[in-house]
Amino acid sequence: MSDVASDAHGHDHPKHELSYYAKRIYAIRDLLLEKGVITDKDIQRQIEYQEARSPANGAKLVARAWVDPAFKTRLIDDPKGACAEMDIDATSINEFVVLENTEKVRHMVVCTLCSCYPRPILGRPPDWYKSLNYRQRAVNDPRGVMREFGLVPSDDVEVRVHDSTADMRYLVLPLRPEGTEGLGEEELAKLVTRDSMIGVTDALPAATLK
Amino acid sequence: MYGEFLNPESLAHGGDGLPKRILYLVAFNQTDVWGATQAPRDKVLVDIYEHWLDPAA
Repeated sequence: MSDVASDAHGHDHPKHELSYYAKRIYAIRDLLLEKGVITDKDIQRQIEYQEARSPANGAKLVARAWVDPAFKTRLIDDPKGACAEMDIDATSINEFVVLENTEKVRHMVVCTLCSCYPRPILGRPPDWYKSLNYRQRAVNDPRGVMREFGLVPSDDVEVRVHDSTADMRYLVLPLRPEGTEGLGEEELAKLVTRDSMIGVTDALPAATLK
Repeated sequence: MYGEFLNPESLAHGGDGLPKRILYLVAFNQTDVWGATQAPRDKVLVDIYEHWLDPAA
């Protein structure tokens, strides 16, 4: 928090010129604090909670699934239970569905209405995921979107686009990259990118680690 | 079929979401939705509540 300055009433505001919405949210925060609805501590705790949720959680799940077939089965049959095994708190997700990519079927996730996303597993969604452009094109030109992420699935591969607009939150289990047979979970997890778990591209190739 | 869930139309307006609605996973062929420019096997899968569906015929 280097870009802030403390003011007279004891908490921080950014120094640079704020947008309309930023000004509004700071004003709301100040009012909630003033009226004693929430405390500075609540805000700090919430920031820490939000930041603890990151794609590293998803990468741990995927890497474990790659090395442990029994875990993979549990991850697909009971995703929340599998998360609990890994000390990942997925309890705030209503229903959690894991979609396994295969040589013949690959999955891609979008929320055409807004920004539904498995936040406990992947953190906050990237801006492009929330953009109108992605939300339209994921549905009517999924292969075009994949091409922009460097992926060209052949015509005999079935692309399944999942529109996550209700109670379901989807995580794609990408294929394990070739040449990673000798690697352990920690190394493998480095290959599992956020975008590969949204399904717009593959996990990174093994050579990335060298 | 995914199961029964609280009705989002009610929840969005501060309601209790009852009665629960059945949620389906519905798959469409991309070629049926967007035409022959789509890859032949591709599908779009949408979560749709039962009361949003109409009989096909």
